[in-house]
Amino acid sequence: MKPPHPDPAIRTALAQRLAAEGRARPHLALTIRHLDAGSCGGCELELRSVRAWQSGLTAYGIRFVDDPRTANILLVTGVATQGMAAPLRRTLEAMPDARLVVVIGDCAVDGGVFKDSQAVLGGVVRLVTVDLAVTGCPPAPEHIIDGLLAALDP
Amino acid sequence: MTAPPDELIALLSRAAIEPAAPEPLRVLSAPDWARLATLPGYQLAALWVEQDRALGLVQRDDWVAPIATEGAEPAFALMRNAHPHLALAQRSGEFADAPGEGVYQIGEGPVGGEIAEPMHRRLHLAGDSVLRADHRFGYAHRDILTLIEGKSPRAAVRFAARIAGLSAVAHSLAFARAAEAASGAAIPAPVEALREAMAATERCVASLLALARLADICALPRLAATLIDLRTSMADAAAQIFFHRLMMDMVVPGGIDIAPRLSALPMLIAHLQSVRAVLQPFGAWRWRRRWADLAEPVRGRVWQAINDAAFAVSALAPFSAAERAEPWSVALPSQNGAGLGQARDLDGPIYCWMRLDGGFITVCTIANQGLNRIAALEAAAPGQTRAAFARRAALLMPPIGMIDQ
Repeated sequence: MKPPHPDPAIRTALAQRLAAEGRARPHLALTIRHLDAGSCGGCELELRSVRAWQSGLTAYGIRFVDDPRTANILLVTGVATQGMAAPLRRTLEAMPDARLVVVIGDCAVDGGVFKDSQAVLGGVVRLVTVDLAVTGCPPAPEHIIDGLLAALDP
Repeated sequence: MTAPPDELIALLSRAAIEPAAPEPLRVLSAPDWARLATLPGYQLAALWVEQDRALGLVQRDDWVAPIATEGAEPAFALMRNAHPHLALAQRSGEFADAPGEGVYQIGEGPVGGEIAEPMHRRLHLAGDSVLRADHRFGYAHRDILTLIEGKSPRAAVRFAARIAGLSAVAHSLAFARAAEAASGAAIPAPVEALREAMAATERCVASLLALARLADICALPRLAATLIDLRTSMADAAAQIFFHRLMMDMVVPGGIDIAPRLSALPMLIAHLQSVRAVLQPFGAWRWRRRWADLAEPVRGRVWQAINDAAFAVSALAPFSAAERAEPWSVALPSQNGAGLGQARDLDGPIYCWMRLDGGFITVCTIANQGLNRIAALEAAAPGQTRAAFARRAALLMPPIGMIDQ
């Protein structure tokens, strides 16, 4: 895995936007709950590459958790189907208030090629407020890590 | 191809032939649908509902025929008979109870638990022993078949590719072959060979990922990371050659979408050649005893990965010698017809049946082994410990997209 290079412009823009809303980026640690909201599985494959980079994740304080109550990042992949609307909202309700929503992949951003389907809501943004988006179909693991590090207050 | 069994021929010969269908579509009566479930060795490879009637693909060994019936209810009854362990796609209602004293239930997904996928798994347990496992789907339904209908095969193949990212090439290939059979297009042999090589590479990657999941759950994170690293390198190479990390959208009806960058092929071939060495630890006894209950399927996955890698290397090697001057795709003739396409993913055949009218898709179905794999997983659950079931699921669970289309 190449060393990450998060874009400082994205980092600053996110920090300023959150500050304007009276919110802050997570400090020192990212505990991530991943939710697949109707993905083909491509983004999940890249996430597995991210998770296999264990030494780097530990160094940056990134950890994937199973319980949304212990997470401060909700990482969503997939098109946001009608069927996943309720589970997505319930996951977000279970999380602490200081949280960020990060979406991964073109499908999660706007529904991707499935945006015309009646069973698809057309992006996670139709359901919850999205703080950061990592685009690509699927994005490379390095881009996902760069995106996650942009959400971390060093 | 094996011949269909006599009793199935007798049953199908009683069916009415739909006159408008270019390929014989047999419309069965409700009693014959029910009788179909009692035939030995038969399998329903696909089932879908088209307005007021149900259609299916009946399969025995490698013999496949499309069938239909009036009204959907007999078809669902058939499905329940075929897969008694399966909770049909539904998101409400009670799970069937496992009787006994001290029985408790654990539910996982989609909100909490180790499962972050759009499905719910319900385990009935007594102590640490699993009595019953049920899976519930329907959360990730994207209505792909409706999106496909009414479009040209070339425009619709991107939906087929996104049924499951792990078998994107296999689904695209089955779809492309159905469209080519329906329209009567002939694909040049070298293009077909490259498509087969891509599918073999994808199957090898899928085997590696299944083994990585198993290694992870068996507390061998370094082995898992090695396998994932190899997969990541192969995805990087695929992005160089085919312009997509999962080789999506390259296999299209008529051939290959854009000319691949063949100069980068040696990188992919080198990664494929290293598969055998990376999988060596799976033969070592000190690791093997951790999955002693899964010895046979693990051996199967390991040899699948090795054989697919070897096949892909031998099929890709001729392409690295010279750039191809001829076009990589042919135009599909715009005509009426129906055709069946077949390709293979990690766990068996994928079928696509398609009817074209004036070059546009009027009916399409895609059948894969997703439901069969879940049914086998549920059937094997009773009597296992929870950890043993988790290991089995890690190795044999299909991508959810294959079930929830």
